[in-house]
Amino acid sequence: MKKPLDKSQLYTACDSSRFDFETTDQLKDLPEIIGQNRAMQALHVGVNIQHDGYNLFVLGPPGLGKHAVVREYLESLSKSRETPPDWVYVNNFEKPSEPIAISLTSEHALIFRDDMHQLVEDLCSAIPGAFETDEYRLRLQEIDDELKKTIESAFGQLNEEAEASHMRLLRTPHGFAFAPIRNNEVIKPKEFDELPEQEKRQIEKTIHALEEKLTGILRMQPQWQREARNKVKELNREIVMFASGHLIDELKRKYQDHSVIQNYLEAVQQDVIQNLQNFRRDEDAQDHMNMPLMKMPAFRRYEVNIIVDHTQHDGGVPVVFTDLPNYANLIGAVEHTVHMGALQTDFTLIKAGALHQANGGYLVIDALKLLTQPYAWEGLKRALISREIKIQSLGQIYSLVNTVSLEPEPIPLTIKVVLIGDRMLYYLLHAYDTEFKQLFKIAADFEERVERTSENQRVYARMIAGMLHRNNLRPFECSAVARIIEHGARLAGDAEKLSINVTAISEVLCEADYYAAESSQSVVGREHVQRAIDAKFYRGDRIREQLHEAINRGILLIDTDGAKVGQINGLAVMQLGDVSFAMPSRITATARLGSGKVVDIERETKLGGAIHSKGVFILSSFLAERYAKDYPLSLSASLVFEQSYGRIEGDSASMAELCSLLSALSNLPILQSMAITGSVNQRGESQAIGGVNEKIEGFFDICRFRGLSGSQGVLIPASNRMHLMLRADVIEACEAGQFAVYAYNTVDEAMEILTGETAEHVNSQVEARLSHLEKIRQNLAKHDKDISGDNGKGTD
Amino acid sequence: MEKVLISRILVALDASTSSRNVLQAGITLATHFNAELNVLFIEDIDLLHVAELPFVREVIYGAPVGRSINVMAMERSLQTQTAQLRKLVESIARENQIKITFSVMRGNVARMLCDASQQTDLLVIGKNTQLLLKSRKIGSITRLVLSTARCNLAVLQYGSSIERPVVVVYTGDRTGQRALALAIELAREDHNQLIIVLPAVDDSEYQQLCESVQNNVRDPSLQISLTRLSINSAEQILQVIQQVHGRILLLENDSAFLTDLEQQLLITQSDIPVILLR
Repeated sequence: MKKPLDKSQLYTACDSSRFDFETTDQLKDLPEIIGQNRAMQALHVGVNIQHDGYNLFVLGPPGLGKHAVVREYLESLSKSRETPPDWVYVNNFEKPSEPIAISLTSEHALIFRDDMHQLVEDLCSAIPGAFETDEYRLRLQEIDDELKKTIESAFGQLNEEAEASHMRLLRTPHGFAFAPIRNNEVIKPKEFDELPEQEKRQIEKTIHALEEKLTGILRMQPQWQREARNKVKELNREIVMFASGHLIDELKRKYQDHSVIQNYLEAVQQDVIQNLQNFRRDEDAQDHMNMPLMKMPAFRRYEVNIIVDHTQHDGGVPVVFTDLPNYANLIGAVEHTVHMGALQTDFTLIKAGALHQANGGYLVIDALKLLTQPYAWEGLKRALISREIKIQSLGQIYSLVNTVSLEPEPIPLTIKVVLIGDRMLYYLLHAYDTEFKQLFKIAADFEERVERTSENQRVYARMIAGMLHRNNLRPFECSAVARIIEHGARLAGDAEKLSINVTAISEVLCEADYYAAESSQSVVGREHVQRAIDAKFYRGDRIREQLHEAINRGILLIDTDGAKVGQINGLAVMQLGDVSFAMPSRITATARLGSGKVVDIERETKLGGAIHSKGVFILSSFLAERYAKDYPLSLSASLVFEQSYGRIEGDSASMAELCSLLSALSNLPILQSMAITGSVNQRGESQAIGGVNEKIEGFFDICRFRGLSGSQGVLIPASNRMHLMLRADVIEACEAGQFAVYAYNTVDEAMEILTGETAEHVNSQVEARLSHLEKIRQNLAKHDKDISGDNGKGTD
Repeated sequence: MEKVLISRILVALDASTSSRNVLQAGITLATHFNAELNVLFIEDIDLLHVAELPFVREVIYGAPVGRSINVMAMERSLQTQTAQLRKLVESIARENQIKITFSVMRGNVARMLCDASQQTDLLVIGKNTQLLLKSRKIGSITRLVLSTARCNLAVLQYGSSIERPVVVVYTGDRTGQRALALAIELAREDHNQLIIVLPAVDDSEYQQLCESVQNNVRDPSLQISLTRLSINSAEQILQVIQQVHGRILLLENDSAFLTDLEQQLLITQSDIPVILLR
């Protein structure tokens, strides 16, 4: 008879006496990340290769501290690199809808903006001053006088000519008219009629000639006025050049090595000349008395919109993490203001995106968040492919709006993008997005577990010490660290591995610290850690308790004593939130004469998953292989998970189903004090399953409630032995002989434990039953043939 | 010193938009002297005569060719002008809360103005400066009114207004004293500043005029500046006005120290209002 596993096989404890420290205070923080050599190497390669497409995808399940690792690595690297340039947008005076992007040496954006503010301030005082000089007034008066003189001269000459011809220029309601005069008075119509015809014709002729000249003068008047305006403009230009030239020249000298700024300052000067009224309107300034100068509508055009400013950085290249990677936050946006019900915008309303902020450095984005934001992924790819940041609204890109908006000059992009996400996302993107492969050539795959070697346990202890230090927690005793390591193995689901899910570990550390504080302890002990683990399980234990209660009250039917034919206790694991637990489940099998088909009722009712169905098909093959090599299986069997109302997936109950079926065929009862888990192959060999600890503990809890008889236990595949990290109470019961855990290799070993009979006996019973069924089938077939033969004769 | 009584002021308007300033000057003076204000618009009969001539065309600013005119169209235009002017006067009266009587007459503008001046104490007119040479800055109507009108006369360049400080040319004779009296009255509202120009060819005459001023001006609150003319000419007076930043000039009409031509030149060249006392 197979012996149950002993205590040492049920739990691989961490021997704290092997540690060379008493509390974690004596440990050095771990500088590097444990067990992530592969990922770190990928990060190193990805970050240092400067060619296109060498962006990174950091993959792994949540909780491994990927963000923290990436942040720490990139920030340590960023310090040693040269800070990228600042970027500003300024007005394009020729095409205001296409603002100009200017790059400045790092930290010079603010200086340039201050310089422009100072320039405008200086212009505001210099220009009005220049226009208030007597010299300007005099020159303006000269232009005005010249215009007046030209007009007066033209009219005067005409008037003189008219008077010489005995005509007078009269002002009519709408214009002018010439009238003939006699004795200094306008000739009355009657007098005119009495004049000789020749004189009349002469008068008419003279008047027409004068009218032509007058028309000519009136026609020339706008031209003279335009000429005068041009002269005023030229004068103003001279004055502005005089007043502003030295101020702008000073700035030009300061930025003499920057051709774009040189051109911009040139454009500013021309614009100041064209809009000098803005600098001369005192009343407007009074209207906006409380408004800063550069906020006034007239001076916003000279504002410098700082898009990227590195003065806040300590140096090095930027490392930017985006919390909300939507399209606008990534690419940047042009905002609008509402004025009199209309939307307005200008270059000062261009807002930087994360790509701008991280340009020249690193941008870290959560892949799932990125992919769930509309068009953000497309926008990011477009920027990476084109290697420039072009701010366009979604409305512009997809032609949803036709209103005129800004088209800021694109900014060249040199960046390393690091996406962080789970493996499924990476593989899906890799499979379905061809651009993804070109753009994210480096995958940094984070491990979830490390080998549980003595060395790694020591390193793990240092990792714990580091986490305590970073979170300002109390030091842990070495026994408490040992308990954390054991818990790490349990989280890994393997006694020979350690989970490096830092989030889960960190939660236990924090809670243990809390319980230590509650007990007024300055050092966290093993009991605090245990309390934290138990409390966490208890918080998520409500459903498990309800199910156990249903079993204990006889609502869910589970036997834990006696023996029954064709009935066995299987074990199923449930995962609810952070807590996973197992539930015993009664599996029954029936067998009768049939055509060799094993009916999986779960599959028939579409409650069974594909893997579960595969397990059941394997049973059929096993039966045929072992018991009916030379004749067909004349069996019809049914398998069912009793009182199961949900979907069943996985093949971890296939051994239980096989044992139940063999029981039904052999008519040998199965001990109900036992539960079994494990999958089976066509040869009847056991195969490892997941959640073995939870399964054992699940059945143990039911048995303990009903009273441990000493005959109760759980059968697990032998290959799952290494995964055992059972609860202390289970181990105690096993040690006391009140409960047992058996490891089996084959179905024969399992049947021996479950039935108390030898495997030969079980198999001979099964063979006899199948042989019997085959004989019945043959007899029935012969009988049918005879009947059909008789009927045939009769017919013939 | 004899006081000048200004109880009726007549403002002559034409249809130009700039005559609004002339009206505003009339209101300022009427308010100051607490005088009755009348506005007169004269429809120029010559325009109707011209309209009857078949070949005369109206040359309009901005139009490529002259437009034919006739009596009916001219009548309509004059009516429109009159209505607009009446409206303007009413609105200005409301704005300034002053009573203004508006009357319209038709005839020869200069003659009608001269006739109307007999019924008033001060006639306010504008001088046309747009169409004439600098040397002949006043129009024929203004020239005729200057020579013919019987009442005191205020001549304004379009666009100017009644402001201070007051400059008065004091000759010491009766009309000069009247000018001085009126100037004192006008000066009271401007820190009592009064600039008196004395046209004295020699020192003794200047001394006499100074004494005369002292005798006639007894108000100690007045800040009087005396300026002696080195040469009795329009040009000299204009220079003094420019130096003292004078904003209104008072002088007697037909004074002995200025010829008619000089006086006409003074009015022509002056950019500030000139009040001629008769």
